[in-house]
Parts: sequence; C-alpha cells; structure tokens
Amino acid sequence: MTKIVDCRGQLCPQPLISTKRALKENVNGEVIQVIIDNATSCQNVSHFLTDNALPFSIDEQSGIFTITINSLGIEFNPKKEAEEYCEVSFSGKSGSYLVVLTSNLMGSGNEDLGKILMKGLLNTLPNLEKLPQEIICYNSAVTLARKGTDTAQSLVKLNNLGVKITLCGTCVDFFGIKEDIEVGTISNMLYIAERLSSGIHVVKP
Amino acid sequence: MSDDFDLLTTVEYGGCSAKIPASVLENILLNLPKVTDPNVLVDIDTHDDAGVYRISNDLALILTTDFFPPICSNPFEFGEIAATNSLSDVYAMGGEPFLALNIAMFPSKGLPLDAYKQILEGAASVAQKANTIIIGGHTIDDYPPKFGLAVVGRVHPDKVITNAGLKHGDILILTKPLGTGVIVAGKRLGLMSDTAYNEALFWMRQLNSTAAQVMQIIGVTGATDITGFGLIGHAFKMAKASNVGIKLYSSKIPLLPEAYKLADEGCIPGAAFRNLEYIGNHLHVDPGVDYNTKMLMCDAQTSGGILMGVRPERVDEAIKLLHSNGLRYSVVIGEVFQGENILITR
Repeated sequence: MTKIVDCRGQLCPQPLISTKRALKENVNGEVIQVIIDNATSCQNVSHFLTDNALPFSIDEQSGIFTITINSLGIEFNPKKEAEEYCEVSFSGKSGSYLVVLTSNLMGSGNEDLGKILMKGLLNTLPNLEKLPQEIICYNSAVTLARKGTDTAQSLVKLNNLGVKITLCGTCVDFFGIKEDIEVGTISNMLYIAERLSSGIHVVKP
Repeated sequence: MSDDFDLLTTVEYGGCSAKIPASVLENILLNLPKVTDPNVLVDIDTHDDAGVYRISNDLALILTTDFFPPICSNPFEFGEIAATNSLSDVYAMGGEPFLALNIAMFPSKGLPLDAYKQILEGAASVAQKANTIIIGGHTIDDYPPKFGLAVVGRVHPDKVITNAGLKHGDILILTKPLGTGVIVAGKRLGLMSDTAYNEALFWMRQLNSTAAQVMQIIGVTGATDITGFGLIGHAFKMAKASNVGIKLYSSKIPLLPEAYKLADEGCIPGAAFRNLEYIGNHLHVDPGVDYNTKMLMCDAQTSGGILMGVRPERVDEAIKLLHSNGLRYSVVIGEVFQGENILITR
C-alpha cells in the first residue's frame, strides 16, 4: 500500500507540514509518496528527511517531484531518531549494528549443539556492552520467537532493552506460527533487504 | 479602501527570510576590492551588521541599510517592522541612529497606493521614537513591494561594539524570543492564534535601543543582532570574526508563544534549512538536542534581538537591567570557548 500526499499548489512550508503529518499518522508502515511542484519545497522536505534519518528517493518529471519515503518498519519519532542518529555518529555506544539470525541453530553441524549454542547466544546478547540496534530473524530463526521457548524469553528481554526484533513474514507463514509468536514485529522482504543494504554493520553469528 | 488590503498576498517569502543565502553572499563579496582607509573601523571583512567610519577622535558614523518584502498583512505595521529592523544594526554596533532615508519598491498600478502611504507612516512613527529624522528616500516602481531604511548612526570610536570581540569565558545573552519566521509562515497558513501572532508582531516592533543602552552601561565584548541568518548563522559569524567557539544551550532558548508547536507540525520555512546548510559541518549538535528547537535556532528572524557577550561577573546586572527595561525574555543562552565552530547542547 502506498499513501499519496499531494502537495501540488501548496505554499512553502505546507508540503513539509503535510509530510510530517503523514509520517506521524503512518502507523502501518506504508510507503509514502509526496508530490511537490516546486524545487524549494522539495529541497526542504528532503533536508528534513535526511536530518531525521528516514530513507527516501526523489524522482523528477517536468518540474513535478515525487519523493518516495520507505518508512517501512521505521517508527517516526523525531526525538528518538535524532538521539539514535547522534549516538551512532558521536559515541557509537549502542545501536550501531544489527544481528541477522538465519536459522534456529548457531553454526552448522550437530543439530543439538546448534540449538544449545543459539540459546546461549540469545542469553548472552543482553549482557553485551554494545547492544544491537535490531535483531532480524528469517528462515527457521523465526521459530526462536515462539511462545513458551527459552529463546523467546531472551528475545523479550532484549526487546525490553530497546532492541528491535523483526521477523520475516513469509517465514512465519511458512512455519504456520503466526498465532504462536511471543515477541517481534512481522515485516517483509523489502524492509529486510533495505536494512541489510543500509550500510549499517551486520553481524551474522 | 486599503483598510482590508493584505500585504502578505504579494509575497511568498517575507521579511528577512528573503535574504540571499549567507554562503552565496560570502562568495560574491570575496572578490570585492579591499578597503584600506584607516578611518574605516568596521567593513565587510568581518561580515558585521554595519560599516563604521571615524570622522574625528570622538565621533564615528555607523552606516547600514536593510529592506525586505512584506512580513505582515497590515501596511502600517510592515513600515514599523521594516524600520525597526533597519535601525537595529546601528544599535547592535553600540550606536545611536539619527538620520535615515526611505528605500522603497512599490507598484504604481495594481495595489492601493494608500498602502504605500501607510508603510511610510509606520516607518516615520518608529523613526520618531528612535530620535531619527527621515530626510528623504527613493522609490522604484516594482512588484512585490519592498521597504526599508538606509540609516546613519553615531558612536564614539572607542565604544564601537563589533561581532569580533568575543573572548573565551564570555557569557551570551539574547534579548528577544526566537520564532518570527516560523510564526509568519504559520500565520499565512492559518495555523495559529491571533494572540500569539500579535505577540510576535509586538517583538518585531521593539527597537533594540534598550539593549544598546544596556550594552554601553555593562560594557560588552561583542554583539550582533539576530536577523535573516538565524541564531546559529549569526552566532557562527560572530564566532568566526572573534576566532572563538560558541556553545548554545538549546533548553534555554527563549521562544515566542506557539513557535514550538508550529515547528513540531513541520511549519519550518526554507530559510531555516538554508541557514543550517550555510553553517554545515561547523555545527555540532549534542545527542538528545530536540530537533524542533534546533530548527528554531536556525529560523530566520525579522527584527530579532541582540546577542551579546558579557563577562561572567556582569551577567546578573545585565539581565536585571534588561528585564527592568521591558526586555523580559532576556536570558543567558550560551558561552564562549577557546576553539571554533558552534556547539548546541541540551
């Protein structure tokens, strides 16, 4: 689903007001397209998005600018965003990397050992000095978030510490555990691909 | 017939928001011939508010001009604000204005000429309050209207206050609340109350004469008035001219009523972004500084207050004097450190 914000004919800074309103109301993480007919407003909106670390692209056709904001899964909270943004660039204490789990096992080889190692990993992560910004689970890793498991308890703990838990929607459907999920936000491939390609440090244990 | 005429319908960017971006201007000024006359005490070299020329050992003249497109709906009020803003540069240099010329652009057809008359009347009323005589002017047939004054002021050559005198350890005081750019944009879009708008108009019409008098009593190290380049832009110019760094406390910044609410809604005029671009990587923002406040610190001000550097032991007295003379928003907003650049802290 794409939400269109048509700002044609609007006087500066109305396009920015409309964009900000759409971002605040965008609880479902839809893609937002802002249509603007003057270069100055377009520049201001893109400056604002850059400042708030929101990913976007601009397309221009005969003086009409279309700004596509891929805010999928990114909660718009200017204060929090600004803080995270600064912490990353100023001190690097937290939120500067993400963990990708691709299986319910850690490492390949013996399955029982793999399970024990994964359990140990998720138990240990909350104790790290530098917490990950986010943990993304796909393939069988989504089963780690199932109710009643030790691994889900560890993920809840991490989530409470501010680590975002993201689960691949296709994988959750594949394993038929949608009703059975204890923790995490269900997301899609576009979001996952975007996060992996965003240039942030990715850790794959 | 012009009673209902709304000047704001003639412009997209009003007031000091209409300034050429500082970065562009600096490049243009770069290649002008250097001034060598020893009687020129202040020239464009330090990008100060006005030029200063020594006539004798006890008299120097301050010369400045400023004009811009409409900032408000009412022509008389626009004349008042434009004149107040033009006179401000003289006060920022520690001087007293005494002569002025009108500089005007107004279309001879299409707009009620009575509106032009009201603009001039508004300016005349302010000039009278400032003990300044308007002795002439110049009008060009042009649309949209623009208005301001060329002003001559006087100051003792030893008492000139420049933007280049800040010292490590100085405390910075701002005398008027910020947010006029955001508020004028909000007014045009119908996003704000009349009460808050009138409060903004009130402050834009406040002469900086009181602040200038206080500066001469207290003895400041440097000062500038806050206009189109916003607080951070003018602070940056001061820091560069003085060879120091400036730290600004974002939580202490005085704001006009409803300015924060408007900024939070996204009502941030383009000039604020231009000012942010101008300062570029010379600006450091501490983690946790509120985004809206940062943008209000970039907001282009029309007829803004004075930013002055005061030695720590004179701060209390300065604030007391400013408050008791009606400048009730006056507050310490930062300090000067050895170094360079602008740092915004919580």
